[in-house]
Amino acid sequence: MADIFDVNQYKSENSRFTLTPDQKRMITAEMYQACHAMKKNNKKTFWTKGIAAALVIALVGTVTYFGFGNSNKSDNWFSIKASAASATQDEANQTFNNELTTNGHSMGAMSGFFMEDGEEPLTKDGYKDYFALYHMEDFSVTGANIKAVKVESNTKGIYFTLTPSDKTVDFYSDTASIDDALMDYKERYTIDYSQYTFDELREHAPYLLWPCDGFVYDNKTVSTGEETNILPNYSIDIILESDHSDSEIAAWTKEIGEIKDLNRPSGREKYEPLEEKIQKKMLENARISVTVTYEDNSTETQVIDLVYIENRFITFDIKN
Amino acid sequence: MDEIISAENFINYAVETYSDTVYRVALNITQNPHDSFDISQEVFIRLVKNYKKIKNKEHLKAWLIRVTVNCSRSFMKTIFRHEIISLDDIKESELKCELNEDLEVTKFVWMLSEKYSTVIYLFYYEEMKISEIAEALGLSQSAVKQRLSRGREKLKNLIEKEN
Repeated sequence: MADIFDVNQYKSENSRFTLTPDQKRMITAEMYQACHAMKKNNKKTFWTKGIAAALVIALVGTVTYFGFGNSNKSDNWFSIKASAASATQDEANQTFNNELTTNGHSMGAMSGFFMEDGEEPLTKDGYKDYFALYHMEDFSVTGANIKAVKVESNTKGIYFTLTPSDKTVDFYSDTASIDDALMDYKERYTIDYSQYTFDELREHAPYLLWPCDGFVYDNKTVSTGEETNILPNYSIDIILESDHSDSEIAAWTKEIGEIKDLNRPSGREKYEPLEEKIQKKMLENARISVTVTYEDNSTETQVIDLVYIENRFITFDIKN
Repeated sequence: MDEIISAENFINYAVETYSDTVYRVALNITQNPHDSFDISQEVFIRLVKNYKKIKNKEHLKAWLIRVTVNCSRSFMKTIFRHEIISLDDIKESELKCELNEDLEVTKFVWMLSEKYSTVIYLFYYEEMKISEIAEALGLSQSAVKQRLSRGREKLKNLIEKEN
């Protein structure tokens, strides 16, 4: 890699990208202005739409934070973390990540940017996955004295991808590597995916994607009695599938495709509200339920309601 | 930041120390200098609103990077909603006209998906540790390692293909 990717050249090229002194002065001036505005009038008058949205999320994060804080009353406790659902206020700026779909399209590929090998530009049909599947990265459950975790959803489908992050193999294209990872995984955890054969799972997605109508994983490692991080060496991503019918989604995406095909400014006015409407509908009443069974066989459940805020943020409200 | 006079030090320090980093992180995602400047402005305005959350210098950098990535992603989604721009258009108009520089290595990094290029930028240019990148991006360390690994592999393939 070192022979091919010239790090020094990369650094040299990037070091040229700097803001001009004038631009820095403009930023500084705007910050002063915002600071004065805050001091003068601590109300919403100067908030931009985006900042208002961020603050709404911050409030959700606050609720989340205290919700989890109260749950840690006894020796048995757990919390959920994901890139969009977090137990800390610091995560308030996170957005729900739906950039990856099961057909391998990234958000970038959809918009014509950053196309990767093997990816095709998104067609009208491709919008179906974009709107029907929602992706939550790096899901994990942390707690003490946990024996098993069960994750369910009230949506049409819930899937998860499992990535052995501590390996350097190309996990997505190497069957042997997947088998190795599975074997390693199975030695430590059990997963209830008996309703599908492995071939069916592989057919469903180009990379390892396990459909799971409520998947269960048992922690086979010996509890230290201290905090136990479930799946410490693995990154789990959860993908939710909307329960709207294919024909319903097809009708919406056809409408979107027609508007976008017009490719003129007037289409924008129609497109944005339509996309927002679809996004809202897709996640309407969607919910993830996480149930933990502790070593003493007691259970605890936390529910994640999916909430769509503004036209660019999707986040969670986590309830005990 | 109750007193404006105390805020001045904070603002000056933040802009002087991190504005170029914020700009480059945004540029890595948008590949457009003008948009990256706009995003930088928004990020620093957000900093004013959220300054109470900042614990120390390290946290400030991590916070700025994270918010920049999120703002840039949101911006790209907005672009996506408004118009379709082809990769060729971006490469030709932005890289050659806007930046007017021959990016022999960076052009390959910018061809990667943002999730890989951001990690590669933070690791190689900012020389951040895996743990620092994980904190900044709100990812697990294992996820950062995985993105770095896959990003390197994709980068290697792109460069080999070009050569």
